[in-house]
Amino acid sequence: MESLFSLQAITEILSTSLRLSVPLVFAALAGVLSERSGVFNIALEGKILAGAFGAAFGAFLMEDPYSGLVVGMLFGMMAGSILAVLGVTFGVNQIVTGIAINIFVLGITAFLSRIVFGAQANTLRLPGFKAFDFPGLSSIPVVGPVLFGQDLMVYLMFICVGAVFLFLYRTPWGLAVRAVGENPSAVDSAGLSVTKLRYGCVIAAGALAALGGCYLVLSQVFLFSEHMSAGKGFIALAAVILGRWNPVGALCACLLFGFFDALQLRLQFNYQDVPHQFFLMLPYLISILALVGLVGKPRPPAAVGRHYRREAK
Amino acid sequence: MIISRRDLLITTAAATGVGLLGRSAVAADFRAAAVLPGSITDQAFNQVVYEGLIAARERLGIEVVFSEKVKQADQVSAMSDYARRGYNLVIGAGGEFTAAADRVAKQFPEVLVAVLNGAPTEGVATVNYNNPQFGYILGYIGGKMSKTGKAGMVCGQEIKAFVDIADGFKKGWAKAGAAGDVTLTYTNDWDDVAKAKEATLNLINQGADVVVPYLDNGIVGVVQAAEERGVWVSGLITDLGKSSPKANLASTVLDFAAATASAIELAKKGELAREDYKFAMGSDAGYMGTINDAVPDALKAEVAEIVDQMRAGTFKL
Repeated sequence: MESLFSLQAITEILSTSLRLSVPLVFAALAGVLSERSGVFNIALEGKILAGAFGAAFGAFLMEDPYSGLVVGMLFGMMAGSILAVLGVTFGVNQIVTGIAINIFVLGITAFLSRIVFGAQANTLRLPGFKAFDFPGLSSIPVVGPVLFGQDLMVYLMFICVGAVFLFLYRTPWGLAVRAVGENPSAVDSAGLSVTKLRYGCVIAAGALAALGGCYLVLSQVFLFSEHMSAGKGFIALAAVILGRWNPVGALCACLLFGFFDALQLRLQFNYQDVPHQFFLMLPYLISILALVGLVGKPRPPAAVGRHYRREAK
Repeated sequence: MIISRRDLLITTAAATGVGLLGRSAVAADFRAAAVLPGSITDQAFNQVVYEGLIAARERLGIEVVFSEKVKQADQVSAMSDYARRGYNLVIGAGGEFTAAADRVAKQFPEVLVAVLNGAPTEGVATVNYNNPQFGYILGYIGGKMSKTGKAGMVCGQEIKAFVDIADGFKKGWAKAGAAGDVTLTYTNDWDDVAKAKEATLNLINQGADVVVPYLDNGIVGVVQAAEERGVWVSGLITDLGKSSPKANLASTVLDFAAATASAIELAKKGELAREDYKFAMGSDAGYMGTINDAVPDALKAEVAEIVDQMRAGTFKL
């Protein structure tokens, strides 16, 4: 049996980690953006699924992955709009709204997929993104194949992390978003619209989370299957907290989850005698340990989850 | 808590919806209900059971209703809901329902509770296959055809049916003279296609050139990985030779549709006892599917002979 520490094994584990992390990263970025603006985003799971269905739908109709990407993001933004209208305008409890969206998307995508794809749903092979190598860079041992032999969406993910980070911490709009999550009345008195800022963030978050679903469909399995988000949205929520509502922190948290998930698959292989349940709980065990031990007490944005009404004090 | 509440809501909604529909459509004395863990379009277990339910409904003219996508935490509530509403037969589709069925059977002694693929349990009718036989056949063919001598099996959770299949597979694999090991991997999710694919790629990277999925929706992830890497895949439940003829080495068909339908028929006649039923390899409900053309005729003949022995009950593992 091959050693767990050979160069080959390490490269494979890291590549798998990255692939398992990508949907989580997109969703966690969405969570960061939305919660920074003061809106709880339990609906990440639903938005991933909406994005996955949209991606499959677009790619199926136009026979082109880029159309899939666009349609997927549109579907995610639609799911985001529901959260924005109910949670921001009408002040419905954001957690309840989020759960409602998750249930709704689970049902509607299953229903629509049976209409659109019918019986061929699980045998279909949709057009998707192919991995391509950066000449030169991809031949560096370990780092090369892991970082420079991926497909477009992985690079897009890194760009998005950078973009959200720069947006939040280096632009006046980002300052406004962070402020609206901490103290919306201060933002309001400075003449900015709390509602518009939150709408923008929640809908953009819908598009971002949907990219996670697009990755599942367009880069990983090239078809839509019901409930294919399989709880990734909830893991992303944990990553938001573990990453301290910071895009780079969330990236690291997702990579950590992805890494331990990949590692447990590998460990199951190498240690058939150890009960597999032990390895399966590894990613969750690590996240609990990380939450308790490494990062201290989390401090969420002060106004998160609270409906803002100008007259109310 | 969030997950289980959401699922409970779906379950209840689905149960009521389907229940109402079924009730208005057919009026009959005998009523059967089934609780399914996955979606009825998964091209695997759930879909097949669903087809069996529909077949039973049409053939017997009785009311048959079902709830799909019922999660572990909601199994007992979904099953006892049917029992409370006076269904004569409540079926849990899948071995993971065994514990729930046990509780429901004790709570509602007048209701007949059956589990497909379930571990034999007192007071519950379990409808099973002679699982090691099915695993053995696939293991034997795989072992003869493998170049690396290594095989990998991917499953959702550790359930008795799969463990039995895996045991049979390992015996067949060794009997065929393959040098390497058979490795089992659990993804902890029957539907997660992406994870099933990664798990399979991992097995292939470790040298496995025959992979066997035992999953719901996740099955497509395994098949895709096998197709991409050019290794063999063997299906246990549905005939993969129909959907991916190139990668399919050999598939057995566990025709849960036939098994489910005949269980319901027996129950209607009042003949389904609270005991363990086992369908053999080569019976109406479980048989050999497509074998790839790359398999030499001599091996095919050998397999046919083993299947005959299994059908006759003379085969010893």
